[in-house]
Amino acid sequence: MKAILECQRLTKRYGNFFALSDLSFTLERGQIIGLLGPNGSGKTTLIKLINGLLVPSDGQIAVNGCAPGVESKKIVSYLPDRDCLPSQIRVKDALTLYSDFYSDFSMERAAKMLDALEIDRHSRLSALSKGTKEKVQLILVMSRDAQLYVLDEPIGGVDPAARDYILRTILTNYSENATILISTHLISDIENVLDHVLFLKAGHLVLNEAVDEVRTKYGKSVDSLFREVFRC
Amino acid sequence: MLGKLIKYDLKNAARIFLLVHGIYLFICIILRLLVMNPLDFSAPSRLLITPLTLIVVLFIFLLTAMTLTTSLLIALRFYRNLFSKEGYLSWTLPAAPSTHLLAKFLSGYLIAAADIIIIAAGILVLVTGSNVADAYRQIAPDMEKVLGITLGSYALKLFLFTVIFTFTSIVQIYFCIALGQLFQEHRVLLAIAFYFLAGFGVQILTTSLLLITGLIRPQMFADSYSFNMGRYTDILYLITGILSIILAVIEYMVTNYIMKRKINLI
Repeated sequence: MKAILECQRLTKRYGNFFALSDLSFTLERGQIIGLLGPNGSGKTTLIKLINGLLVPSDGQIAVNGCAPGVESKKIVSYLPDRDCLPSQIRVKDALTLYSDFYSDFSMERAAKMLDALEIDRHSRLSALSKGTKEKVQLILVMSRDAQLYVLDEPIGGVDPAARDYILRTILTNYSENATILISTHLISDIENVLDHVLFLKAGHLVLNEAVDEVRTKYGKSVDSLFREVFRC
Repeated sequence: MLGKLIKYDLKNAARIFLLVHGIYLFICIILRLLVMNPLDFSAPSRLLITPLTLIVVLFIFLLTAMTLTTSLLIALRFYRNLFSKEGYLSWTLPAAPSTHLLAKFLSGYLIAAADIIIIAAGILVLVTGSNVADAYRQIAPDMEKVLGITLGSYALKLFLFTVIFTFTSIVQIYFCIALGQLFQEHRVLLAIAFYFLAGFGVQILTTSLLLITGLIRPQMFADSYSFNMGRYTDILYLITGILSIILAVIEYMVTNYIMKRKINLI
């Protein structure tokens, strides 16, 4: 089986500035991977490249063996770090939209999560709070039976109680063969669910290890190691 | 996928489109009932000047507002859906960039064509009263002499040309927005600047071509008796039509290339 994500000498340049530089790594299936790094380290750039929202300046990126395109988009479920749904649509229309475009979308799973969070599906997104909008987007993304979930700051804008629910949602809604790539600053909140971590620093990959390896090799938690590597 | 993209695009544009065009048709009906129908064209011209001026000014204002709204609606749908935060959803749908562009082109064309048809319907509402028809009958021979054909045939030709060739203006809007996306900053401002530059360039090119080929000569307008407006329009349609198609094909291909190879969401 092909690796779910493979990057070879991946580079993204804006003029003389390198947002990502010579990145090479492979992600295997069935793991939850933390994409960690301070602001401006290139996390979102990498995520955008995976989703075909940016074109690499150099190198290659392959999702399930294919360059980002129609085929990769069928199997990648992406949660961006901002609202991306038209603000005037209702929650139920957003569900229909996902169901229309993604054959792997489960309306039943989405309905169950909306009910658990008591979100009115007749509400317009513009009428919802920032946190509730984020929950709706996460519900849409996690209601797909995707092979790769790419979540950019999924817990950044919600309260700690909702954070727990979201993490539970992520854990209970993906199949064992699927891979989840989570970008976040809130490492301590997600450390327990991670299998693997990637540390990005100024566009370079500085760590690519299994979480168990980190603990054995460095004798530290991921959070402590992060604070050490990225100390200001 | 193409059908779904078009469906969602039209659905999103429908509310504003129907509202604006509904208001337009309503105003046309009101103008017909309250201003046009009571007009007596056999009355002295000084009595006709005020209501006719009012209706012409109001109609030009309406027409400008409608055309501008429709163009803005098409431009905003393209920009918002593909290059603003909504692009984070649009570009992750399992559709190729060329499918996105074709969907936007077809939905944009349907909106623009519907706009022209509704504008024409509004004009018909205004000028189909028996008093207007009777008045026109008196000047019909002179009009036909100037136009070379009947006013009805001339209007139909103008209508069909506008409906068919409106796709060129849509491609130009998309092309300019896509060009603006090649820059890191001031993308909207640059797209607007490109739009005016492109419009200016097309005008210069058309006029130069007409003068160089001798299809239009200043002497044609010198003698108002021998000047045939219908013939002049035919030449103008032919040249601008061919030129518009060539430009639209180039602009469409460049836009497709930018969307495929240069996509860069901020």
